[in-house]
Amino acid sequence: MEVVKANHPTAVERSLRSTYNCMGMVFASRRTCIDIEHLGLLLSEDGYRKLDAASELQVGDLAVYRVDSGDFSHVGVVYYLGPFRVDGSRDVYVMSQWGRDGEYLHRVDDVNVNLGTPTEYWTDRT
Amino acid sequence: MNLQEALAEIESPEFDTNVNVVSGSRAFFRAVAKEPSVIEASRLILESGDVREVMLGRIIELSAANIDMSYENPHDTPLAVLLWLTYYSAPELCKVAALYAANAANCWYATKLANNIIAPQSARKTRANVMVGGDVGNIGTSSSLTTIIRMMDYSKRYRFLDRAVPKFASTKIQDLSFGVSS
Repeated sequence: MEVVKANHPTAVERSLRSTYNCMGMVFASRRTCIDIEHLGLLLSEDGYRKLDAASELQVGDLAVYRVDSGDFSHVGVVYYLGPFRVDGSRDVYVMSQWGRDGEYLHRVDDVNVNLGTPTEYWTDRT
Repeated sequence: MNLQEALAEIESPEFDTNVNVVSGSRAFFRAVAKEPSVIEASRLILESGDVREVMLGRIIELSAANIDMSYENPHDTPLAVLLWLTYYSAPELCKVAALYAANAANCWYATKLANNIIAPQSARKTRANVMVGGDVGNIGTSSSLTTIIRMMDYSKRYRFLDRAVPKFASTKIQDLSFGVSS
């Protein structure tokens, strides 16, 4: 935890359990690990849709991360949205499990380099 | 960085923290392959048979280390990394190393890799050990999750090895070896 917090100043730990991963946290009630390779299948079969604009984003939507190759690398749940700035941007905070390293509340882009970068948001809202 | 320094880094909590943030075997080995200590170790292991024997010895030591059975094995990551390096550099030692690593309790990546090295065919016919904390039937938050778990036999779980390992074997390690021929 000290290693994580030293490198990621916005990360606040929620749990240090390692019995689930990011996919297990989002899709399986924190009870198991699911390989990130299955994220595309889960999103499509569970009726998620990709948000066209960040302005549509709401608390509870999913932040999806990819690595340079385009593969899915991480997923988290949006839990806080800051107010819009003049330039249209705003802070997005998510809750996600970092593999075996624990569950954290963190700014969407403040993650380990191996988790990739946040590239899109998905929702199951109709 | 010499071999001792590379091994010390591979076994460090910082290394473990850095590569274990990912959620999948392919992602894990992809993260491992980027680590400077692994790049250096791969260069050294291709250069010297002595290094291969040191790595085998370390795999045996880590596999036999006493651990608290209430928790995951703290040596899972270094075991997986050393076994992975041995897989490419010393095929003659690889199965021996895998037999030791497979006996290390409470491992995840090391066990998966070791089992596939020992018996890829039989491993693929075995049901995946996908459940960590409960019964499949009690997970109800995702409509397609049950389908995924059902299809997660080893043929699915080890697809990363079918794709990733040969790829790593043919490209990554050679890329990492800076022209040192194996």
